[in-house]
Amino acid sequence: MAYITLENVGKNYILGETMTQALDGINLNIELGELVVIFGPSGAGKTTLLNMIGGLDIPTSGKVTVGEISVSTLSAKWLTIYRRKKVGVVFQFFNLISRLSALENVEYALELVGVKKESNGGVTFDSKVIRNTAKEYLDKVGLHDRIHHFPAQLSGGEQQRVAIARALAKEPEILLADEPTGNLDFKIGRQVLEIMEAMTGKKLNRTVVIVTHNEAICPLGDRVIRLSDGRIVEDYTQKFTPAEELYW
Amino acid sequence: MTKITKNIFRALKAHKARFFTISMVIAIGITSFNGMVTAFVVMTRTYNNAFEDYNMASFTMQTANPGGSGEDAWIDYNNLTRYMDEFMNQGEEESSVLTYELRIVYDTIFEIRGTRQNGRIVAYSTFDKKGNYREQPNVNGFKMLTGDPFSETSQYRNVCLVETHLATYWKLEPHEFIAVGDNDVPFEILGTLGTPEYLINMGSYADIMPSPRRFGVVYLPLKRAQVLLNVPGRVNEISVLLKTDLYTRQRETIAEDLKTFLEETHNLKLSDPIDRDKQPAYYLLKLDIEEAREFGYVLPIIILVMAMGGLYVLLGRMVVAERKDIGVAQALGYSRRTIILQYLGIAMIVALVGTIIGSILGLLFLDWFGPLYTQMLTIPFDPKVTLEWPILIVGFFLGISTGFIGGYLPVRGAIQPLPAESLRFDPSLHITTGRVPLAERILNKFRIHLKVTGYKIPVRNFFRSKRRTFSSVFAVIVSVSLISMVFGMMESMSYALEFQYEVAEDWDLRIDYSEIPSNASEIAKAINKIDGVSNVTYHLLSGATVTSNQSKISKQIQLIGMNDFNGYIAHKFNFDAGTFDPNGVVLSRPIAEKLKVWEKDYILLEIPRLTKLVSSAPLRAHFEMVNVSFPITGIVDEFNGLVAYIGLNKLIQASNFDDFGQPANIVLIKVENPTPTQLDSIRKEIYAKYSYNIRNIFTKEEQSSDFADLLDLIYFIIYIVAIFAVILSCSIVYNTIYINLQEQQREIATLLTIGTPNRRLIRNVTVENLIITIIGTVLGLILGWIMLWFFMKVILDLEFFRIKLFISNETILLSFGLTLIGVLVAQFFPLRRALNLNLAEATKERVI
Repeated sequence: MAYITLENVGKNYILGETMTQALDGINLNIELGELVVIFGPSGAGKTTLLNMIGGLDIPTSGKVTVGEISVSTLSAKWLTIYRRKKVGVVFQFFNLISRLSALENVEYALELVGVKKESNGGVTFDSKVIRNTAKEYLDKVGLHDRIHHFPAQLSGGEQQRVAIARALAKEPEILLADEPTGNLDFKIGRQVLEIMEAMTGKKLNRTVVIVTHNEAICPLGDRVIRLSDGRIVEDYTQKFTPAEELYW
Repeated sequence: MTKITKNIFRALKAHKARFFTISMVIAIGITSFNGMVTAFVVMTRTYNNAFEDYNMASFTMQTANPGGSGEDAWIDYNNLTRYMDEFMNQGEEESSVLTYELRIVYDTIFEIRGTRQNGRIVAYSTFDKKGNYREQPNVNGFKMLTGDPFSETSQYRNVCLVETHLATYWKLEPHEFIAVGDNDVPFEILGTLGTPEYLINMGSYADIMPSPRRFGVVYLPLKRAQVLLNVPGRVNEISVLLKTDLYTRQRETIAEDLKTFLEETHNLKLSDPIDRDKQPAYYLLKLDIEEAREFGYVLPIIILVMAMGGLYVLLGRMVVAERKDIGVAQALGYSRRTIILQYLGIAMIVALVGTIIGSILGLLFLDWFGPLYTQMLTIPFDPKVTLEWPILIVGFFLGISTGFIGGYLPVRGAIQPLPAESLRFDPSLHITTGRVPLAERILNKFRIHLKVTGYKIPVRNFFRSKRRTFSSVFAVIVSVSLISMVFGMMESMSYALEFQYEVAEDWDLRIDYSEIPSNASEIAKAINKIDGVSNVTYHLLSGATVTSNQSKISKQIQLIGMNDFNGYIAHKFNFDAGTFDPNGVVLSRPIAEKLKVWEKDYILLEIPRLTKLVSSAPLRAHFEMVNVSFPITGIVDEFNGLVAYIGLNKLIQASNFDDFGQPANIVLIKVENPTPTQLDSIRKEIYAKYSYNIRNIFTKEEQSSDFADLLDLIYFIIYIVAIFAVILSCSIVYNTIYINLQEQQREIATLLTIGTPNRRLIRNVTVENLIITIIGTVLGLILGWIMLWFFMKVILDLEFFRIKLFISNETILLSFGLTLIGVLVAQFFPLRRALNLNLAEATKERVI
């Protein structure tokens, strides 16, 4: 059974007096550990689809199920818990908390969910453990010497790496990335993808959904879904290409 | 429509609620400016017209002993007329004296509906020099308000006209009777009148609490007054009207010349002339006018400065948020000047809207504001309220200037000369110092580490930028300072009154005598025998001049001669230094400060010294004024700021009066069980047994209530300030907190996306606002205290009334509590909106 299931999902927005159909009867199944790239032009409904999966938005029609959770019918309170425990999000504009340092940004996410104990599988909220875990993740994204810097003191690539560390530190089952390289140049963008690639994948049982309008990123996914006018126009699996081989 | 105009209106539309709030604050400022200044102008014009239309005397001069019965107390009317004409006609030049009036002005007692009180008879001849009837005297005329004036036959009947303050207090109507004088002679009231001479109901400087309950004026035909006082054909006062274009100094010279002429040529004995400027009612009126004028300027200016601050904060934040757009506009070719004009245009439109609304409100309420002061001061002349164009124009410029200053300063500083600088600008850099705030570092030193999901974000939010911190705290400072000032005013006054009447004044009944009895100790002994009376004392109250030996500075004061050397039973002192010693004087602190003297220094007291005794019961004597040196034994800080205490025996000795008993004009009584019934019963008994020469007997509650009535004007002003304060506080707090939260909306969306519970976000925002409120409260209280001091100085003479200004703990809590409630209400709507944000949309753009 698929891990993420979208059944006939539709989403309408009312902008002024006109109604826009962002998603039109989307049916989609995504397996656990799959790296999916959702590709399409602006206005195709990519981000809306991502938001449905991430519990950032609810569909106008249809049903979104993640594991055994019916995300589309959750109350606001349970949606918050769902986002906290199951989902990590990486935004195009990083969305770091400007008053918190890189380390504190990661700590924030960890303080909400705690850190899993290796010994018994339980969760600890010990501040030292949280701090060490946050450092560990920042180390993994190559920012061990920038942990006390504030977002305004970091470059765009560094900020995105902090955002990735923040999203992944809580070890979510789903990582959603909305145009993660959209605001970065090629070199930095590829570095970010390499980090994401290294920290996700089947071995970690983590499903990754990357939204992009950049076709060159599509080879990174095990599967590519192309959207146009709110509909899936193409859905294919492929042989994964490492990020370091991507070029745009 | 040009691009700039479009942009201006677009920005105004986008932030309409906030801009409208500031417009409203400006409107309130302009309304109060137009209203208060117009009221002041109307009042000034009203009394000026009254002085001109009714020939207010340029100076008056009484006989040397106007209240007495000797040869220096009265002057023959016909002789004095002849002397005055002689003075006017001397020399070849046209006399500066236009006309004069010879009157009787005599302080006595009235009995009105069974109650006795102090009062003054003013009597003028109802016939001119040629023997023709006249309604008005030549000088110090009056306006009939109700009833009829004196007629040709009035001089043969016991009829009177009652000055309006007294008539209003007692609700006296024509044809009613009042008893005048010691012998309670009934006089029929023909009508009531208003006169510039008593625009303010005040008899003398010594009466610090002028009230119609204790002082009123009754006009009599001269002949009736002469019969009543048994002084046929005599008068005791000259009122003189001079040309209007003379300076005070010139008036004083003429008055001195007249005195010299009458004394040297005609051997009369006269008091020093009293110039119009020194006439008690006129003097008090001038003080009130000065207070009204200052209040008229100060209140609107404070409001406009706050509006300016609000505009500064709002535009400052707007410009920061739109810095990149500004850079783009510059890159597209807009000049820096054009962009400044665009933002300035917003500020000017906001100010213009506020100014127009304020001006319209000012016009709509013109009939309410215009006569405000004249009604509050019970000036008995109809104020002529007209639209004052100069005030309207000045108000207009004030309003526009508020917009210009409040708008130009933040905009000019924020717009860089080069577009690249604006484009490079990162709002997050602007609102983040990039450092851990000092407060947090101090906490860390004490090993207190704030949790990231705990109070770290609220603390960082507060300290992230000086400008942002200032603008957030500004609203709270405004709110707390206004609330604490208003409540501080009320509680300071209440405390002063409470202290005065509950602690300092330790008596239950007080007797005032119309003339000084010289057997006060016998009277006290007799009263002490009345059932229920536990103790009796007496003192001698008079006006005096005190001069410093060192600085030579003089001051007019109220001198109280106390009869008890071993502790004054009716008064509890609040000493700042020293103590009471029967051989010296105790000065109130403002006098000591004014004279630059302190305990153990010496001062000169100008007191009357007896030269010839005419009668001892009641006291009729001749006095000369002499300066006697006394050591200062103590300094008191009391409600009555211009008072000096001296031992009664020492005063009697210095006055050369020790062979003639114990003179006193006030007897104070302590009652065992001072219930209203008991007090009334004792009062009746005193009236029945010892009524001779008594003007008034009143309870402490009655005096306190009279005084509270007097303070109505001040309370009214405080209530106006309170209303403005509440409106201003609410609008400015709401505006700022709203902006704060709106700036954080995207960040709140990010935190929600990460999975932060709503409750924690609400807590974070509340804690941040709590920090703003606490810090703002501390600063607001400091500003509040300064404003309290300033306003009280403006609306109340703090030298005359010694009021200890303070802001109580309750007021501090109240200011904090009310402001916090305002903050919580203000955060409710934007926070609710933020919590219901479309996260997908809100997280799409860069977090600011």
